[in-house]
Amino acid sequence: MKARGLMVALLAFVAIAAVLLPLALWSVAQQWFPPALWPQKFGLRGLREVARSGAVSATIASALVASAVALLSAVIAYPAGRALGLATFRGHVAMRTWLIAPALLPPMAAALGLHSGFIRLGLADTTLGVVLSHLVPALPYAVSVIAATFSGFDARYETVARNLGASRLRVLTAVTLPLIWPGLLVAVLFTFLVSWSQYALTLIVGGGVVITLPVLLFGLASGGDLHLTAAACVAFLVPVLLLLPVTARALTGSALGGRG
Amino acid sequence: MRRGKAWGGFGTVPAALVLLLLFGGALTQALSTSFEDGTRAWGRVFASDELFESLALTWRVALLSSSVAAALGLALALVVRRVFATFGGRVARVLLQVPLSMPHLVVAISTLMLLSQSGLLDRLLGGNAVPALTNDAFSVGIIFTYVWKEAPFVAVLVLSALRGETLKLEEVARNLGASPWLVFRDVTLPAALPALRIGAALVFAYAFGAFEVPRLLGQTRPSMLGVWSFRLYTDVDLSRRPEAMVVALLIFASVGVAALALNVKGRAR
Repeated sequence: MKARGLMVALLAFVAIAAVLLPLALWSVAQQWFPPALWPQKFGLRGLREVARSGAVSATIASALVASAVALLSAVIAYPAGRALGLATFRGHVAMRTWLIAPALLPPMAAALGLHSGFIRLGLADTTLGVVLSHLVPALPYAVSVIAATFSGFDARYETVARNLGASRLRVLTAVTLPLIWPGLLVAVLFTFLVSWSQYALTLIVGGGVVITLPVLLFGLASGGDLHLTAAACVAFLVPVLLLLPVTARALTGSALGGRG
Repeated sequence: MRRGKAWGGFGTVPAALVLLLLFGGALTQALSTSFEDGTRAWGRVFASDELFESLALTWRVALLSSSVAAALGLALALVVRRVFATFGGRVARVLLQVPLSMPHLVVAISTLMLLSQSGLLDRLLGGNAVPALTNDAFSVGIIFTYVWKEAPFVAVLVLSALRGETLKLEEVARNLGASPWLVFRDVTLPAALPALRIGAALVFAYAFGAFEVPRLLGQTRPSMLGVWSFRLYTDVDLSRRPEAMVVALLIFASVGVAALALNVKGRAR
């Protein structure tokens, strides 16, 4: 049984490594001509050059957009998640569907319409426009994670604090937030990653003016310089891998409609 | 708490409004732009040869990706489940999370480095050994990307659906003398089916509207609907923009119909 478990783990590892290995090799290969199976020379040329090819400003743009999306999503989703999680009103099932369904739609279904609409509002090809467009895929996940958090929250703690004379603000900071902050944090980190990984909406609503890491990355990949591409991929993956334990749980939980 | 009941839903207003404005706005805009010159854009899209080629390609890629990912995901879940509590099983469950957290673009780039004609697979086989697996007519690269990324996702969904009650039911069935196949067919599979259906639907919807993966790994023409609509939208000829909207609306409608069909079928059971 034990040996079989290790076999399964090993197979899973190989299946994952086989696909990610070329990426890792290319990021540190200095020279790798076909048909060689292993790079002829290793070095950090790709990583050094990608810093000069706009990766720094793209990383800053990505971080700015993703942070704004994460904070906006959390603030907008908080009251909605609370209402849905506590299920204190009629029609909350229909409302849940309406708030979570957009996460299931591919971004391309909305991207072109958003860009056209934003042209009239002066939001097309701007960072603000990109941030707003990312709310379409991000907000549903925030609502779903916060709702799941509140479904395990007992609102009577708040009532007790109120009855003991605490102000509404004090109830929020001394009772509610300390109890639910782990869920709130997951929502923030998760929406950060949804925005961080977004390509279609950024390209179309940003009109090629707002250059985030995925937009830069796609340009490099279709340009064909695999050293640069792999190096940019590594920079792109840093937060993804750092936040892996948090987001994986949120993703699998919310995919079932926030019952996680 | 009567007041709580009446006002309980008030908190959903900001989020519902933001989504209504953005999503509803995008749809309204797409519709009105598509009818800018009357029904001309709709006519041109439906009269073009590319529509049926593109639709066939998109349906094929989305159906193959979602069904292969669902089958492989179920198999993965069953294998991991047999060693669930061992050290190896725990490691495998952590590893399953890696592909599903990877951005599609990164997986598409890895696929390119692995399967292209000077890729690692070709080098491994001695050079000039593999046929075109990326930018090919069958879309091997696109389907490979989706299956690699989404099969673990389906597996995780199935694993969480099979916890608790199912284990006991399986034991009861075994104790009553059911063969392993019967246990699988009559206990395990029905318990896994809802998760399997949700997983397959999500993969289908996502692959149907795919953009970056087919843009990087697909052939130029015919292209999947998402790539085609983008090409029309960014055409130097601005009069093609309404046609781009028609194609975007087709994506929206197809995904919506697929989701509804699945839901209706799910309820009919």
